[in-house]
Amino acid sequence: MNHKSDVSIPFGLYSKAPDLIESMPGLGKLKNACPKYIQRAEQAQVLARQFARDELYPRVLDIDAKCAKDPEYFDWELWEKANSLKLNIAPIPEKMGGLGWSALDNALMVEEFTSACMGCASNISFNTFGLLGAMVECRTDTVLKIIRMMVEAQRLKKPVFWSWAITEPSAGTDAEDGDAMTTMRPSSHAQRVAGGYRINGVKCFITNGGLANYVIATIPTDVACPKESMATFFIPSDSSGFSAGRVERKCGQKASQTAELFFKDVFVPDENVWEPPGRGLRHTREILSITRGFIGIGGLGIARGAVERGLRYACEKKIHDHRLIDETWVQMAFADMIKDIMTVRLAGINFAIALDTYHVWKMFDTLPVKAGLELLPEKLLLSRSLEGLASKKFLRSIGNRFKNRLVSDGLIEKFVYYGSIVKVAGTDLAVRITSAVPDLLGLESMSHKYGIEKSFRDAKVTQIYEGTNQANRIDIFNHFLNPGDQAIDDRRPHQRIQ
Amino acid sequence: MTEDRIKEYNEILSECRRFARNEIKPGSLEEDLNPDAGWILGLWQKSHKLDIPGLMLPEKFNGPGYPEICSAYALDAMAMECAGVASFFAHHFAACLAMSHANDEKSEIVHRVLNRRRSTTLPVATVIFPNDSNDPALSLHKETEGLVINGKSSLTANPDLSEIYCIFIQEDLPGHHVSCAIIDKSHPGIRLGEKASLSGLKAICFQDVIFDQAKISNDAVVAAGEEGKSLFDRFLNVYYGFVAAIAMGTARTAFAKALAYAKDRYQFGKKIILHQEIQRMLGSMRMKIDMGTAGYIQAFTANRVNLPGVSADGRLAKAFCTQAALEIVFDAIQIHGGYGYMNEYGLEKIMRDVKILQLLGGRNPYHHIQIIAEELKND
Repeated sequence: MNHKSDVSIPFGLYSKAPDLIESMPGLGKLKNACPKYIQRAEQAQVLARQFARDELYPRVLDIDAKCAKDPEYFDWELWEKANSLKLNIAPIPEKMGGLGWSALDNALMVEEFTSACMGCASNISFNTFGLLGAMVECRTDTVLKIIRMMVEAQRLKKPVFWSWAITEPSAGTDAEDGDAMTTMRPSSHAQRVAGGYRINGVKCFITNGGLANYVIATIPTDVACPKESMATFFIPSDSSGFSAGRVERKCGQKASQTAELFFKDVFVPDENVWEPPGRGLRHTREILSITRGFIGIGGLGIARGAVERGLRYACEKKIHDHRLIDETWVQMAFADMIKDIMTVRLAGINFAIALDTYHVWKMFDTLPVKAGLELLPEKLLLSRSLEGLASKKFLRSIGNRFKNRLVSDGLIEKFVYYGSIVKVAGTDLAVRITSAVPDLLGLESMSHKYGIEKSFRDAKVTQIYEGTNQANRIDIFNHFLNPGDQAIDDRRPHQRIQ
Repeated sequence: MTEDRIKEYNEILSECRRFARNEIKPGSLEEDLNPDAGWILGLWQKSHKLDIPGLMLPEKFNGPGYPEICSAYALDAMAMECAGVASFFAHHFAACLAMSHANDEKSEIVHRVLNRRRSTTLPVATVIFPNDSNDPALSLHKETEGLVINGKSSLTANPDLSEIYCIFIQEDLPGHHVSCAIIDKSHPGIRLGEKASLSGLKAICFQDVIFDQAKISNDAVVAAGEEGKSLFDRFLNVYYGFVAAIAMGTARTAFAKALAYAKDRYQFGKKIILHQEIQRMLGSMRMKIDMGTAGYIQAFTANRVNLPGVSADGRLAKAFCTQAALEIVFDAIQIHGGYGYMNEYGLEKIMRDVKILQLLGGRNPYHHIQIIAEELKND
């Protein structure tokens, strides 16, 4: 028994202070070299932590209970609060109306939000699929259009939800893996018609399915050769022939709506083909190269939330003459969890900083983008006339060529590898810790009011979506043995992040 | 075990499986979403056709007097369709163990509570006992006429629908003696707290039972002192063995679903059962089911060869089987992918149920501590 421990929760939901350097002192070197970068991240962490504490934490259990009764329930008040702080468009540059958050800033937000509630977190911070999707091919006019749509909607307090539709009833992880895709049996199909494509089929387990205003869908033009013919389409949900099924009854993450999507002779004009046939897998891999790591950080957040709630419970739980937290075996178990959380946290932060340094976020540090953002007035940046100009053949392809030089196919696969490691580590941690915490606390701790059982329910699916952890392991192993010729920093030194 | 016995048990198992498939399965998912006491009471009525409620009772109380392992098999079979329903019966069976203990002198109280309704159905019973989940335990004051109980028993299973409470209370005397009493739910000085909202075993309710100067006459005390302690030890072993059996029942279903799905689902160019990793997962699940089943059977087996270091303690069977079942259902969900996380497939319900089973009657790591701490005391 260790009665001396006077436990006050040192980090997380119960503390207002940022702890980026405090818990990861190795970042001090980076802080010295790039002070603005780390200071901004600390500010982002404070803002996200405050939002999690003040807005998410007090209401997530109520939202969960309401969604259990009615899966279509959505807390619009919470969404409006997040929208008013621009948290749902955080990565968009400040000059264009967003928060200009780096990948690191976003990762810290995801960790804070998911420690309160993974479902609510995905409603707010995972709604940047649209921007990510557009950034892949990076046609200048498309990117400008998507940013304008998102910023305008934010200002008008109008929700814009995106879905990223890959999974099909007959093909789960198959649709995310090059080898598997050669033998997959797609249930959706795009047929070439005059001026575009006609799409038929079904997608399942689609996040935001029932809410989405826009869907980014990967669909093959030849079901016999899905890998060679996979294309990526941008589909407004008011397109004729498009419909969403009922919102699924899930075990957890109930605040985030999941539904089937149905395509019945949906016409997609050529201008909304974001990747031509044969490039769809590349599109998917690039998004995965970013999102898998963020899911890992989400898993980490779930685990952290369970530990923080568990610590509070153990501090308050009296057993005869002592508190539960005074028992040394409980302290040992928590210490082990804290060790694992801190280790995975380092991996997640490292991944996010790598995204800023080498991946698509790097664009914001390049001279042309910096100069454009610096010199062009805000009104022009968000104007349709700039979009019109950018749609000219030459200008529209500039963005594409420029970005492809920065983010090569080899780099994408490298980041799928890095991201998969964080994803498997974070989500396995989530499942293990959310199960282990109640083992310390007892039956009463599984009452809904403590939030721990919700963490337990929320955790399991993180091992499944964004590619099952088994598929992630295949990517980890394959890349480790065949990392390709290009080293991560084998190129001109990038500009310093500031 | 004789061949006749095995045959007899197999028949009971088959009957219980049929009951589970025909009666429990059709409603188990709906009851998980919208629990309704009428459903489980309906099952209770129907289960009388197979004499399930009286399985544990000896002949003197008009039961068949089957040994405890037989009830564990029945629970295992019922848990294959719903762990909540099986838990309902498990708490009843555990109470029956205490009632069965009543000697001729004390049997009147048992006859009285069992026959109170003068109907063909037995009243439902449950158990209230000290464990680390409901600490601080109830306090007991002994008077010449009987016992006075005060305090709260946290999150007792099924006190609302039960008509009989079988209470074990530690006596405040050296030697940790225990009193065991059997009383009616309507006994003066007893009230129920709010229903807890747990994530699993939703077919039954968990509520605090609050005792406020509840006076229990000596007639209702079926065992006390050392005899009570001995009965309590036996009860604990059986109770935890029952929880272990339920966990294994749920694991069997999770495994069967995963196996069937793996044979059907095509991914990465072939049926997923042809992938080595899926075979490894299924093989590991099979190992845990085999070992867990052997473990809980051992907890009920009195005559064993004395292998050094083997305690056959029901708590350990429960700790092992519930952990094994959780790992099995985690893997079963993983094999199903997104479908496993959806309510309709029934696997996520098993996951939630098993997590609550793990915590019934105390925390698994704490059982480990207790077992060694008790051995130290006896050294």
